[in-house]
Amino acid sequence: MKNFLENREDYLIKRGIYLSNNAYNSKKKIDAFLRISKDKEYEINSSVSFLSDNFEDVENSILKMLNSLKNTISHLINTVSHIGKIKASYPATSSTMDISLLNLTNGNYTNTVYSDTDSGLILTSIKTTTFLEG
Amino acid sequence: MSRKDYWVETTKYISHNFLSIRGKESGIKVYSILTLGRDSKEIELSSGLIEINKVTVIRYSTVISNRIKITIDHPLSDTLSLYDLVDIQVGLDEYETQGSYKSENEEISFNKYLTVVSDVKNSLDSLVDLKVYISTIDRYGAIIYSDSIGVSINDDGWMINKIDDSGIITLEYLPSEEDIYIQIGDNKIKPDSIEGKIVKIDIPEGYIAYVIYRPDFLEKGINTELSKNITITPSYGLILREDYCSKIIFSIELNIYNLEETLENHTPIIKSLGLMTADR
Repeated sequence: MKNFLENREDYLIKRGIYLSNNAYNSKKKIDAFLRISKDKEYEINSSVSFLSDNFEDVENSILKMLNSLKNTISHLINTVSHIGKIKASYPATSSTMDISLLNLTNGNYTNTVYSDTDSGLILTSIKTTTFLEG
Repeated sequence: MSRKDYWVETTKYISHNFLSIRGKESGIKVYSILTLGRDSKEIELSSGLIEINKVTVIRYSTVISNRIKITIDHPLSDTLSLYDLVDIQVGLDEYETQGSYKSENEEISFNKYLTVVSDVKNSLDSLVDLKVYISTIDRYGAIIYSDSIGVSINDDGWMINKIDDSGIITLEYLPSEEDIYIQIGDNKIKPDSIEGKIVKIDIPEGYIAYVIYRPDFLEKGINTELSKNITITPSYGLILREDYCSKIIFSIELNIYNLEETLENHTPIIKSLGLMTADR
Protein backbone atom coordinates (compact mmCIF):
# COMPACT_ATOMS: atom_id res chain seq x y z
CA MET A 1 0.00 0.00 0.00
CA LYS A 2 2.83 2.33 0.89
CA ASN A 3 4.42 1.56 -2.44
CA PHE A 4 1.13 2.18 -4.16
CA LEU A 5 0.69 5.58 -2.48
CA GLU A 6 4.26 6.56 -3.22
CA ASN A 7 3.82 5.52 -6.79
CA ARG A 8 0.49 7.37 -6.97
CA GLU A 9 2.12 10.48 -5.52
CA ASP A 10 4.92 10.23 -8.01
CA TYR A 11 2.39 9.78 -10.74
CA LEU A 12 0.35 12.83 -9.66
CA ILE A 13 3.46 14.96 -9.24
CA LYS A 14 4.73 13.89 -12.62
CA ARG A 15 1.33 14.46 -14.19
CA GLY A 16 1.17 17.91 -12.56
CA ILE A 17 4.54 18.75 -13.94
CA TYR A 18 3.51 17.35 -17.29
CA LEU A 19 0.29 19.35 -17.26
CA SER A 20 2.01 22.54 -16.18
CA ASN A 21 4.66 21.94 -18.81
CA ASN A 22 1.97 21.32 -21.34
CA ALA A 23 0.13 24.49 -20.32
CA TYR A 24 3.40 26.43 -20.42
CA ASN A 25 4.22 25.00 -23.83
CA SER A 26 0.73 25.74 -25.12
CA LYS A 27 0.95 29.36 -24.02
CA LYS A 28 4.33 29.68 -25.70
CA LYS A 29 2.94 28.02 -28.75
CA ILE A 30 -0.05 30.34 -28.85
CA ASP A 31 2.23 33.36 -28.36
CA ALA A 32 4.47 32.12 -31.12
CA PHE A 33 1.50 31.38 -33.34
CA LEU A 34 0.13 34.89 -32.77
CA ARG A 35 3.53 36.41 -33.46
CA ILE A 36 3.92 34.37 -36.64
CA SER A 37 0.39 35.31 -37.67
CA LYS A 38 1.20 38.98 -37.18
CA ASP A 39 4.39 38.59 -39.20
CA LYS A 40 2.51 36.76 -41.93
CA GLU A 41 -0.22 39.38 -41.91
CA TYR A 42 2.44 42.07 -42.29
CA GLU A 43 4.10 40.12 -45.12
CA ILE A 44 0.77 39.59 -46.88
CA ASN A 45 -0.11 43.28 -46.46
CA SER A 46 3.31 44.27 -47.85
CA SER A 47 2.89 41.89 -50.80
CA VAL A 48 -0.61 43.14 -51.53
CA SER A 49 0.62 46.71 -51.27
CA PHE A 50 3.60 45.91 -53.54
CA LEU A 51 1.35 44.18 -56.09
CA SER A 52 -1.13 47.02 -56.01
CA ASP A 53 1.68 49.61 -56.42
CA ASN A 54 3.26 47.68 -59.29
CA PHE A 55 0.16 46.35 -60.95
CA GLU A 56 0.43 48.92 -63.75
CA ASP A 57 4.04 47.98 -64.44
CA VAL A 58 3.14 44.29 -64.38
CA GLU A 59 0.25 44.95 -66.74
CA ASN A 60 2.50 46.99 -69.06
CA SER A 61 5.14 44.27 -69.00
CA ILE A 62 2.52 41.66 -69.89
CA LEU A 63 1.25 43.84 -72.74
CA LYS A 64 4.80 44.29 -74.01
CA MET A 65 5.40 40.56 -73.79
CA LEU A 66 2.20 40.02 -75.75
CA ASN A 67 3.25 42.53 -78.40
CA SER A 68 6.69 41.00 -78.57
CA LEU A 69 5.13 37.53 -78.93
CA LYS A 70 2.80 38.85 -81.64
CA ASN A 71 5.80 40.27 -83.52
CA THR A 72 7.67 37.00 -83.11
CA ILE A 73 4.68 35.03 -84.37
CA SER A 74 4.30 37.44 -87.30
CA HIS A 75 8.00 36.99 -88.10
CA LEU A 76 7.64 33.20 -87.88
CA ILE A 77 4.60 33.29 -90.19
CA ASN A 78 6.57 35.35 -92.71
CA THR A 79 9.48 32.95 -92.46
CA VAL A 80 7.23 29.93 -92.87
CA SER A 81 5.56 31.62 -95.83
CA HIS A 82 8.98 32.35 -97.36
CA ILE A 83 10.11 28.76 -96.84
CA GLY A 84 6.78 27.61 -98.25
CA LYS A 85 7.39 29.64 -101.40
CA ILE A 86 10.85 28.10 -101.78
CA LYS A 87 9.48 24.63 -101.15
CA ALA A 88 6.71 25.26 -103.71
CA SER A 89 9.36 25.86 -106.33
CA TYR A 90 11.81 23.35 -104.98
CA PRO A 91 9.79 20.60 -103.33
CA ALA A 92 12.82 18.57 -102.32
CA THR A 93 15.37 21.04 -100.99
CA SER A 94 18.03 18.55 -100.05
CA SER A 95 21.42 18.18 -98.48
CA THR A 96 23.02 19.32 -101.74
CA MET A 97 21.48 22.76 -101.23
CA ASP A 98 24.06 25.49 -101.43
CA ILE A 99 23.80 29.14 -100.47
CA SER A 100 26.18 31.88 -101.55
CA LEU A 101 25.65 35.29 -100.00
CA LEU A 102 27.18 38.44 -101.41
CA ASN A 103 29.75 40.38 -99.49
CA LEU A 104 27.82 43.64 -99.27
CA THR A 105 30.86 45.46 -97.86
CA ASN A 106 32.42 45.30 -101.34
CA GLY A 107 31.05 46.50 -104.65
CA ASN A 108 30.12 49.71 -106.42
CA TYR A 109 27.86 52.09 -104.52
CA THR A 110 25.88 55.05 -105.83
CA ASN A 111 23.96 56.89 -103.13
CA THR A 112 24.19 53.72 -101.03
CA VAL A 113 26.62 52.67 -98.35
CA TYR A 114 27.30 49.60 -96.25
CA SER A 115 26.57 50.58 -92.66
CA ASP A 116 28.50 48.62 -90.03
CA THR A 117 26.18 49.80 -87.31
CA ASP A 118 23.10 48.63 -89.27
CA SER A 119 24.90 45.51 -90.59
CA GLY A 120 23.40 46.19 -93.98
CA LEU A 121 23.23 48.26 -97.12
CA ILE A 122 21.37 51.57 -96.70
CA LEU A 123 20.72 54.72 -98.71
CA THR A 124 23.24 57.42 -97.87
CA SER A 125 22.26 60.34 -95.70
CA ILE A 126 22.10 63.74 -97.35
CA LYS A 127 22.06 65.40 -93.96
CA THR A 128 22.35 64.15 -90.42
CA THR A 129 21.34 66.24 -87.44
CA THR A 130 22.11 65.04 -83.96
CA PHE A 131 19.90 66.38 -81.25
CA LEU A 132 20.69 64.65 -78.03
CA GLU A 133 23.90 63.47 -76.52
CA GLY A 134 24.07 61.47 -73.34
CA MET B 1 20.48 40.62 -64.43
CA SER B 2 18.17 43.45 -63.53
CA ARG B 3 15.94 45.50 -65.77
CA LYS B 4 15.60 49.24 -65.32
CA ASP B 5 13.83 52.06 -67.14
CA TYR B 6 15.75 55.24 -67.91
CA TRP B 7 14.40 58.46 -69.38
CA VAL B 8 16.27 60.88 -71.63
CA GLU B 9 14.71 64.15 -72.62
CA THR B 10 15.21 67.49 -74.33
CA THR B 11 13.66 70.83 -73.55
CA LYS B 12 11.70 71.04 -76.83
CA TYR B 13 9.99 68.66 -79.23
CA ILE B 14 12.20 67.40 -82.09
CA SER B 15 11.86 65.21 -85.18
CA HIS B 16 14.08 62.15 -85.15
CA ASN B 17 14.40 58.89 -87.05
CA PHE B 18 17.46 57.22 -85.58
CA LEU B 19 18.92 56.53 -82.21
CA SER B 20 22.50 55.40 -81.73
CA ILE B 21 23.64 53.69 -78.55
CA ARG B 22 27.28 53.27 -77.58
CA GLY B 23 27.80 50.79 -74.78
CA LYS B 24 30.28 51.67 -72.03
CA GLU B 25 29.95 48.35 -70.19
CA SER B 26 29.88 44.84 -71.61
CA GLY B 27 26.76 42.71 -71.60
CA ILE B 28 24.27 45.56 -72.05
CA LYS B 29 20.96 44.55 -73.55
CA VAL B 30 18.21 46.97 -74.51
CA TYR B 31 14.78 45.50 -73.84
CA SER B 32 12.66 48.24 -75.36
CA ILE B 33 12.73 51.85 -76.48
CA LEU B 34 9.67 54.01 -76.61
CA THR B 35 8.93 57.69 -76.83
CA LEU B 36 6.08 59.97 -75.87
CA GLY B 37 4.52 61.83 -78.79
CA ARG B 38 2.89 65.24 -78.66
CA ASP B 39 -0.37 63.64 -77.56
CA SER B 40 1.49 61.86 -74.72
CA LYS B 41 0.82 58.53 -76.36
CA GLU B 42 3.60 55.97 -76.24
CA ILE B 43 5.27 55.20 -79.59
CA GLU B 44 7.38 52.07 -79.70
CA LEU B 45 10.71 52.63 -81.42
CA SER B 46 12.16 49.20 -80.76
CA SER B 47 11.06 46.00 -79.07
CA GLY B 48 12.76 42.72 -78.34
CA LEU B 49 16.19 42.32 -76.80
CA ILE B 50 19.01 44.07 -78.65
CA GLU B 51 22.56 43.37 -77.59
CA ILE B 52 24.60 46.57 -77.53
CA ASN B 53 28.09 46.15 -78.87
CA LYS B 54 30.28 49.16 -79.67
CA VAL B 55 27.68 51.28 -81.43
CA THR B 56 24.22 50.13 -82.38
CA VAL B 57 21.92 52.25 -84.53
CA ILE B 58 18.16 51.79 -84.41
CA ARG B 59 16.26 53.31 -87.35
CA TYR B 60 12.55 54.00 -87.36
CA SER B 61 9.94 56.18 -89.03
CA THR B 62 10.26 59.85 -88.16
CA VAL B 63 8.60 60.81 -84.87
CA ILE B 64 8.26 64.09 -83.01
CA SER B 65 8.87 63.89 -79.27
CA ASN B 66 10.96 65.20 -76.42
CA ARG B 67 11.18 62.18 -74.09
CA ILE B 68 12.51 58.68 -74.69
CA LYS B 69 12.28 55.74 -72.32
CA ILE B 70 14.94 53.11 -72.69
CA THR B 71 14.72 49.83 -70.75
CA ILE B 72 18.07 48.20 -70.12
CA ASP B 73 18.99 44.76 -68.86
CA HIS B 74 22.34 44.78 -67.09
CA PRO B 75 23.64 43.27 -63.83
CA LEU B 76 24.67 46.71 -62.57
CA SER B 77 21.67 48.71 -63.74
CA ASP B 78 20.50 49.11 -60.12
CA THR B 79 23.72 50.83 -59.11
CA LEU B 80 24.92 52.57 -62.28
CA SER B 81 23.35 55.61 -63.91
CA LEU B 82 22.36 55.60 -67.59
CA TYR B 83 25.42 57.65 -68.48
CA ASP B 84 27.70 55.08 -66.82
CA LEU B 85 26.18 52.41 -69.05
CA VAL B 86 25.62 54.00 -72.47
CA ASP B 87 25.95 57.12 -74.59
CA ILE B 88 22.79 57.91 -76.51
CA GLN B 89 22.39 60.12 -79.54
CA VAL B 90 19.08 60.85 -81.22
CA GLY B 91 18.99 62.45 -84.63
CA LEU B 92 17.35 62.98 -87.97
CA ASP B 93 18.84 61.47 -91.12
CA GLU B 94 17.65 62.70 -94.47
CA TYR B 95 18.22 59.96 -97.03
CA GLU B 96 18.71 59.92 -100.76
CA THR B 97 15.51 58.90 -102.50
CA GLN B 98 17.26 56.48 -104.83
CA GLY B 99 20.52 54.60 -104.90
CA SER B 100 22.17 51.67 -106.60
CA TYR B 101 24.60 48.91 -105.78
CA LYS B 102 26.51 46.46 -107.96
CA SER B 103 28.11 43.55 -106.19
CA GLU B 104 31.40 41.91 -107.01
CA ASN B 105 31.32 38.44 -108.54
CA GLU B 106 30.51 35.50 -106.29
CA GLU B 107 30.69 31.80 -107.01
CA ILE B 108 28.33 28.96 -106.32
CA SER B 109 28.35 25.32 -107.39
CA PHE B 110 26.15 24.66 -110.40
CA ASN B 111 22.62 23.53 -109.93
CA LYS B 112 19.93 24.09 -112.49
CA TYR B 113 17.49 25.31 -109.81
CA LEU B 114 18.33 28.68 -108.26
CA THR B 115 16.53 31.23 -106.16
CA VAL B 116 17.48 34.69 -104.90
CA VAL B 117 17.55 34.94 -101.12
CA SER B 118 17.33 38.28 -99.36
CA ASP B 119 16.71 39.87 -96.00
CA VAL B 120 15.44 43.44 -96.16
CA LYS B 121 14.39 45.39 -93.06
CA ASN B 122 12.58 48.71 -92.71
CA SER B 123 11.44 48.58 -96.35
CA LEU B 124 8.12 50.45 -95.82
CA ASP B 125 7.24 52.04 -99.19
CA SER B 126 10.63 51.53 -100.84
CA LEU B 127 10.92 49.16 -103.79
CA VAL B 128 13.95 47.42 -105.20
CA ASP B 129 14.72 46.70 -108.85
CA LEU B 130 17.07 43.70 -108.81
CA LYS B 131 18.97 42.10 -111.67
CA VAL B 132 21.02 38.91 -111.45
CA TYR B 133 23.94 38.39 -113.85
CA ILE B 134 24.89 34.76 -114.31
CA SER B 135 27.77 33.04 -116.09
CA THR B 136 27.96 29.26 -116.06
CA ILE B 137 31.44 27.76 -116.13
CA ASP B 138 32.61 24.28 -117.15
CA ARG B 139 35.16 22.24 -115.27
CA TYR B 140 37.99 23.76 -117.32
CA GLY B 141 36.99 27.33 -116.43
CA ALA B 142 35.44 28.21 -119.79
CA ILE B 143 32.21 30.21 -119.87
CA ILE B 144 29.37 28.14 -121.35
CA TYR B 145 26.74 30.89 -121.36
CA SER B 146 26.00 34.22 -119.68
CA ASP B 147 22.64 35.79 -119.08
CA SER B 148 20.85 38.29 -116.87
CA ILE B 149 17.41 38.28 -115.34
CA GLY B 150 15.25 40.62 -113.29
CA VAL B 151 13.89 39.19 -110.06
CA SER B 152 11.61 40.79 -107.49
CA ILE B 153 12.47 40.77 -103.80
CA ASN B 154 9.57 43.14 -103.04
CA ASP B 155 6.45 42.00 -101.23
CA ASP B 156 3.97 40.15 -103.45
CA GLY B 157 6.43 40.09 -106.36
CA TRP B 158 6.00 43.70 -107.50
CA MET B 159 8.57 44.94 -110.02
CA ILE B 160 9.63 48.58 -110.40
CA ASN B 161 11.30 50.43 -113.27
CA LYS B 162 12.13 54.10 -113.60
CA ILE B 163 10.76 55.66 -116.78
CA ASP B 164 13.03 58.05 -118.63
CA ASP B 165 11.91 61.41 -120.07
CA SER B 166 10.66 59.81 -123.31
CA GLY B 167 7.76 58.32 -121.35
CA ILE B 168 8.17 54.96 -123.11
CA ILE B 169 9.54 51.85 -121.45
CA THR B 170 9.85 48.21 -122.51
CA LEU B 171 9.27 46.01 -119.49
CA GLU B 172 11.19 42.82 -118.91
CA TYR B 173 8.02 40.81 -118.35
CA LEU B 174 4.54 40.96 -119.75
CA PRO B 175 2.59 42.84 -117.06
CA SER B 176 -0.65 41.70 -115.48
CA GLU B 177 -3.47 43.89 -116.81
CA GLU B 178 -4.85 44.40 -113.30
CA ASP B 179 -1.63 45.03 -111.43
CA ILE B 180 0.14 47.85 -113.20
CA TYR B 181 0.29 51.52 -112.38
CA ILE B 182 2.49 54.54 -112.83
CA GLN B 183 3.66 56.49 -109.83
CA ILE B 184 4.31 60.18 -110.45
CA GLY B 185 4.94 62.14 -107.27
CA ASP B 186 2.39 60.80 -104.81
CA ASN B 187 -0.14 60.00 -107.54
CA LYS B 188 -0.81 56.51 -108.81
CA ILE B 189 -2.32 56.40 -112.29
CA LYS B 190 -2.88 53.84 -115.02
CA PRO B 191 -0.56 54.01 -118.07
CA ASP B 192 -1.74 55.87 -121.17
CA SER B 193 -1.22 52.71 -123.19
CA ILE B 194 0.11 49.18 -122.79
CA GLU B 195 1.07 47.16 -125.87
CA GLY B 196 2.51 43.87 -124.69
CA LYS B 197 5.62 44.84 -122.74
CA ILE B 198 5.67 48.44 -124.02
CA VAL B 199 4.21 51.03 -121.67
CA LYS B 200 3.62 54.68 -122.56
CA ILE B 201 2.93 57.59 -120.26
CA ASP B 202 3.01 61.35 -120.61
CA ILE B 203 5.28 62.57 -117.81
CA PRO B 204 4.78 66.15 -116.60
CA GLU B 205 7.96 68.19 -116.78
CA GLY B 206 10.07 68.09 -113.66
CA TYR B 207 8.57 64.84 -112.35
CA ILE B 208 10.07 61.37 -111.95
CA ALA B 209 7.85 58.45 -112.94
CA TYR B 210 8.02 54.79 -112.07
CA VAL B 211 6.14 51.88 -113.54
CA ILE B 212 5.17 49.38 -110.84
CA TYR B 213 3.69 46.07 -111.91
CA ARG B 214 3.29 42.37 -111.26
CA PRO B 215 4.30 40.10 -114.13
CA ASP B 216 1.59 38.12 -115.83
CA PHE B 217 3.30 34.79 -115.08
CA LEU B 218 2.68 35.30 -111.35
CA GLU B 219 -1.08 35.32 -112.00
CA LYS B 220 -0.98 32.38 -114.37
CA GLY B 221 1.29 30.32 -112.13
CA ILE B 222 3.30 28.82 -114.95
CA ASN B 223 6.98 28.53 -115.72
CA THR B 224 8.05 31.05 -118.35
CA GLU B 225 10.98 30.50 -120.68
CA LEU B 226 12.88 33.78 -120.96
CA SER B 227 15.69 32.56 -123.17
CA LYS B 228 17.17 29.23 -124.17
CA ASN B 229 19.25 29.43 -120.99
CA ILE B 230 16.82 30.55 -118.29
CA THR B 231 13.24 29.76 -117.31
CA ILE B 232 11.53 31.60 -114.47
CA THR B 233 9.02 30.02 -112.08
CA PRO B 234 5.93 31.75 -110.63
CA SER B 235 7.84 32.41 -107.39
CA TYR B 236 10.83 33.98 -109.16
CA GLY B 237 12.85 30.76 -109.00
CA LEU B 238 15.31 30.29 -111.84
CA ILE B 239 15.80 27.12 -113.87
CA LEU B 240 19.05 27.09 -115.81
CA ARG B 241 20.01 25.08 -118.85
CA GLU B 242 22.32 22.21 -118.01
CA ASP B 243 25.26 21.94 -120.34
CA TYR B 244 28.13 20.29 -118.51
CA CYS B 245 28.22 23.33 -116.22
CA SER B 246 30.36 22.98 -113.13
CA LYS B 247 29.84 26.26 -111.31
CA ILE B 248 28.08 29.59 -111.57
CA ILE B 249 29.64 33.01 -111.23
CA PHE B 250 27.05 35.62 -110.42
CA SER B 251 26.65 39.22 -109.40
CA ILE B 252 23.61 41.25 -108.42
CA GLU B 253 22.71 44.82 -109.30
CA LEU B 254 20.18 46.78 -107.26
CA ASN B 255 18.31 49.99 -107.79
CA ILE B 256 16.63 51.10 -104.60
CA TYR B 257 13.75 53.56 -104.93
CA ASN B 258 12.44 55.22 -101.82
CA LEU B 259 9.02 56.45 -102.86
CA GLU B 260 9.02 59.00 -100.08
CA GLU B 261 6.27 61.01 -101.70
CA THR B 262 3.84 58.55 -100.16
CA LEU B 263 5.51 58.12 -96.80
CA GLU B 264 8.14 59.75 -94.67
CA ASN B 265 11.84 59.91 -95.25
CA HIS B 266 13.50 56.57 -94.40
CA THR B 267 15.92 53.97 -95.73
CA PRO B 268 15.51 50.26 -96.27
CA ILE B 269 18.27 48.12 -94.75
CA ILE B 270 19.44 45.23 -96.93
CA LYS B 271 20.93 42.77 -94.50
CA SER B 272 21.77 39.96 -96.89
CA LEU B 273 21.50 39.02 -100.53
CA GLY B 274 22.59 35.99 -102.45
CA LEU B 275 21.70 32.89 -104.40
CA MET B 276 20.56 29.52 -103.20
CA THR B 277 20.60 26.28 -105.16
CA ALA B 278 18.45 23.22 -104.52
CA ASP B 279 17.76 19.82 -105.97
CA ARG B 280 14.31 19.16 -107.22
